[in-house]
Amino acid sequence: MEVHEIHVGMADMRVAKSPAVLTSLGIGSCVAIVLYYARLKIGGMSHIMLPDMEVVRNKSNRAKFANTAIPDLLREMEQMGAEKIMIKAKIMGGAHMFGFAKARTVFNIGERNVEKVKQVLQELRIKIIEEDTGGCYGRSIFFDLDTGLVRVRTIAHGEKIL
Amino acid sequence: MLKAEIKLNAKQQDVLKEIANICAGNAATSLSQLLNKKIEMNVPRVYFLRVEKVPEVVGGADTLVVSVIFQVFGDAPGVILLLFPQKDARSLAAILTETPVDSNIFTEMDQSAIKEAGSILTGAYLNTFSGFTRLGLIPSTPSIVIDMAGALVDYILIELATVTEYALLIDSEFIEADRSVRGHFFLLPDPGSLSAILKAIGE
Repeated sequence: MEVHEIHVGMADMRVAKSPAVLTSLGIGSCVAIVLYYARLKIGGMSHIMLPDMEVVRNKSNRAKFANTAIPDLLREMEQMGAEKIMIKAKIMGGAHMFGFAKARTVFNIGERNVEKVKQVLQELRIKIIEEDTGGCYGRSIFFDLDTGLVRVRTIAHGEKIL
Repeated sequence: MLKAEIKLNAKQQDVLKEIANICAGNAATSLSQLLNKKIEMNVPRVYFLRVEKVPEVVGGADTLVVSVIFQVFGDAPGVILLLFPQKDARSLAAILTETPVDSNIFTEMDQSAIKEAGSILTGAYLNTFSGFTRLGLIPSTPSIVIDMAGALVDYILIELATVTEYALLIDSEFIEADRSVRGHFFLLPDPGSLSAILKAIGE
């Protein structure tokens, strides 16, 4: 059976209910956060680019930043009937793609994204049960809302199920 | 504090396209001298689009690509990104190293040859660009990355996203018909460089 696939682009977020697969392709230094509420099989995915909305000039898209996207994602899931206390998180991405870091970049944005995501989840008291972050390669992820499992696909570093 | 978001109008896009066309033409000529093969170049495309849309333009977020990346330093900093589909990169390496295409593995030699081709294109492109704009531009040494297109560009885009919502992307496609090698040459000026370029071309 072909399951409904929902694509979550860069700086985007989606919430859905089983049967559906939420996917995010070609994640480098961005971080994908998936939240899952197993009882009603409600899941959400967010694909953030930057840690903090407060430090940038441009504040138009809340889904771009860890500190705004994750609370928004949680709220949407709660509106669909998920109970926060039972929601679990998995995080993927945050790679360091190139050897060079631009001089003015506060280097390793991937790592900073991952740190911020963890901090935000901790403040919201959501437990991270699986994590596949860092490295220097891209990832594509497929989040099956029926099982709550996330398939992480890479080009040269194999495939795993979280 | 930087000024408000810079927008790019149709006329400015045309001027950029014209310059890119000449830059890419010279780049193609240089590469064709290196390979001793005819290299064709399509009319460049100028994209001025939301940062989030860039992965689609470069061929799809999870498409496997072989990419050569340069940082550009000087009066208008930015990034140059050369993208080849895997099989095209394989053929390009075969032409350069004069070995048959027999596997999907890129040896050190192959990677080095692809980087060299990238350096030739980039050098010629930037020289011409500098000539037009009188902006001093110097490329870094190349890095080669074989991975998903989306993962390659997000690192560059994240940096852009801290200051702007839009990315300027100048895309030149070059083609070697004999072995059917197609590649894309992308110039992505930093947000600050866009105003420097526009000023230099008198727009």
